[in-house]
Amino acid sequence: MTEETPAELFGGPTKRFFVSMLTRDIELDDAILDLVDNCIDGAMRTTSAALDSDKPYAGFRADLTVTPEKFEISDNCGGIPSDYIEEAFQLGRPNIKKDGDLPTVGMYGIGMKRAIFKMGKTATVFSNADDGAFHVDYSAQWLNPENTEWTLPISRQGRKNGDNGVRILVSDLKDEISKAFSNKSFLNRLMAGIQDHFGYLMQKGFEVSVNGVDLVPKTLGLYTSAHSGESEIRPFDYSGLFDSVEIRVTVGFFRALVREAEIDKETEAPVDAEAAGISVVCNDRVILLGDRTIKTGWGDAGVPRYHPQFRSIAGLIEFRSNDAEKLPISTTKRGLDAGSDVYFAARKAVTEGLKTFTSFTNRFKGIESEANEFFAKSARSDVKTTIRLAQEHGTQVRGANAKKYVPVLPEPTNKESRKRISFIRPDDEVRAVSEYLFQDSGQQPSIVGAECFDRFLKEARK
Amino acid sequence: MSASTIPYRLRPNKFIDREIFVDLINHLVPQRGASEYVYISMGGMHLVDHSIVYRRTGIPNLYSFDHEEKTVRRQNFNRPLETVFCEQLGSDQLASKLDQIVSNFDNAANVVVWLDYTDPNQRLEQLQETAAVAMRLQPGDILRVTVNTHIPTLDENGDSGAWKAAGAESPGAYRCERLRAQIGEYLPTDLRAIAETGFPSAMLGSISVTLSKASRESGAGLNFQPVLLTSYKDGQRMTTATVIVDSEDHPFRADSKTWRFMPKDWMDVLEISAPDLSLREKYRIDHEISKSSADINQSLGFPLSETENKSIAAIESYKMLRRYYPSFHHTEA
Repeated sequence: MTEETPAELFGGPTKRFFVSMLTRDIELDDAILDLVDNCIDGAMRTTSAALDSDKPYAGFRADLTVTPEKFEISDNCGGIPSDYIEEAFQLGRPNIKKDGDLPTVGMYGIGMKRAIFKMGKTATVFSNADDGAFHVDYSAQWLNPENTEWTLPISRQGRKNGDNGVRILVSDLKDEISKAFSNKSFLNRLMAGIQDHFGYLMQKGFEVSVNGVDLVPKTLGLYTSAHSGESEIRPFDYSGLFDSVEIRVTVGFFRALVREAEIDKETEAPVDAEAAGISVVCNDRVILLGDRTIKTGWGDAGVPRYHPQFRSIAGLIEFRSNDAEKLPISTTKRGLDAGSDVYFAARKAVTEGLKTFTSFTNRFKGIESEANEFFAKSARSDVKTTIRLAQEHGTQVRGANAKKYVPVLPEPTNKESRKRISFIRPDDEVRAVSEYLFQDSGQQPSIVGAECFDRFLKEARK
Repeated sequence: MSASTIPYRLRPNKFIDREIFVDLINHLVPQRGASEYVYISMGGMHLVDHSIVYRRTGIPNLYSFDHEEKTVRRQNFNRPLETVFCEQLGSDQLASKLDQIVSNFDNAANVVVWLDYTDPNQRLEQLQETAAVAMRLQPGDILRVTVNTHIPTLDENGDSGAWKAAGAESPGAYRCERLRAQIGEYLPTDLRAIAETGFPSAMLGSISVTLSKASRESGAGLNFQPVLLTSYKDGQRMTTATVIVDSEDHPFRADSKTWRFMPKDWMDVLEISAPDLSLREKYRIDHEISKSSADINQSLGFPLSETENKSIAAIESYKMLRRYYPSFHHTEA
């Protein structure tokens, strides 16, 4: 029997894990969105305006240059102050409370480095802040997965003239990244992604450009009208406080009801690209966009599963907290932690809102155009900046620090119970009947079927 | 989807568009040899395009598809050669059948595919199909896509107040919003408004994004270079992009010195607007062809269109495209 020799194992990470493994966990466009997120965190630390004011980020911007030759992002969001430098370049953030009472979302301190590792063979980070300027170089040697050297050279100077901000320059791109940056559809998707994910921050004044094109915010607008005793089309609205997280849930119609003919087409192939579904926003950042799954309550708690007939319904769940840890966000900043209590509190409200509008849609099934007059009386308003129904006219929710506004929606004038008839016949036969009834062989099959029924109903009632 | 059933004699601009396309095929296919190619399109009931492509370019391998069985039966009756394949197939199935179609023909290696879409209600599906086909193409292939760019299809059939009711900034912004709702990620993100004359370039921009997506997702380093971008209006306005496919290792080029309709970029659209001319008018213009369009307009002594400017533009278009200008005559067979 041999005696066991006490020994030690190295339990730390390897360079390869960070520079070539971790980067596989994130899509290229998400890695770039992480960099824009960092600019916004900078603006939050720097702005003197209250973050819940109308335009706290006015004057702050991020400019991206994305070409096959280089990637560059520069901002005027304050730069990296001396206190933050060390942690900014460490892999992982030791002090999660660093931002104290600011509603930043960066918690794990990995975004900037991961984006650099994903894109570049070499890179430089420049910063100009109130207490000095510096630049840090990531050399090809440092980024070699075999290299075990972890220290980075930093060159410090006094504060430079001009804006305080950060500039990240990746001048030597990896081949596959250079190829992606030469692709028009990648750039198109990247720009759309920035407009979608930062739409609410851009609405509050933050500006972003990509290759010289100023982007425009994309935010949700829903049909509403001023509160009154009349039954009209208005959204469901909920506003509450849960464990120091402010929650707002608004669900409603962003377009008129989908007609049956459109639904029939959609079952064969997608007919449009409208953003129906529920989006989740944390501290003004969109982390889930147009979701139509059980994650946001579809197919749960009495809400039907998503179906093309509900394509007019959209909603927004908004969380706000100065304590980023309390927000339902996973590591990527754009991942939802759907298992957290604060999210369950909001999800309960969403299912109530969804139920209100799926029921309305079902009541008008087959007579969708009858609802058009109600849509004509209301107008689309921006959810975040305009709709305040819960705060101003909501009722207290029992057992919660919250108010909700459940709209009284219009009813169909003809309340007779309705049944749907559906059947399939050969194309040639449908065309022949269409020709016979309308002297036009190309009428919609549903119209041909309905006309047949109506004619025989008249006969039957003679 | 089915091919349009309106005959070419009622669509002179489409006729010219196709003539230029046939010229382009003749310009391109000698690089690899006509017998290497398979021509694939929705042939319509008379297979007119297939006949012309065969006669004028020498491509012997012809394939036509249509989703209606009775149309395929009629195509089989009308086929110009015994070796033309006519099959019942939806355009959504073409991408997955492409390799099989080529393997039907001995020695064929490349394809000329024309996706001739007319329905304005299925733009997303059409672009998705285009991407699916493009992803499966090979260097040396030619792809042509026609889409409906009739502006009333974007503003509630010409309802001039629709944009206000929807809370849009302008009619152009409303059209852009509507098109974005239809095709989403395929529309260039930086497009904010579509002017009344801007629909062709908006859709060409979208086709360009579609092909970039196909290029990226093909994983084969394919390049799609536009070689002919046209727009015309016989009834509804239609816009067509023709691209050639190559890769770094397998170049396939159109020579801009000898191919006069080579666009500078995706925005460089050739407007085809053939004036409706009597034979006598045509002879007169041909006789005075060396004069300026304004002089010819004056010499005619009457306008060919509603305004003088439009008349001069029509003469200009005729001068540029007169080689392709149709002369339809009644004959008794």
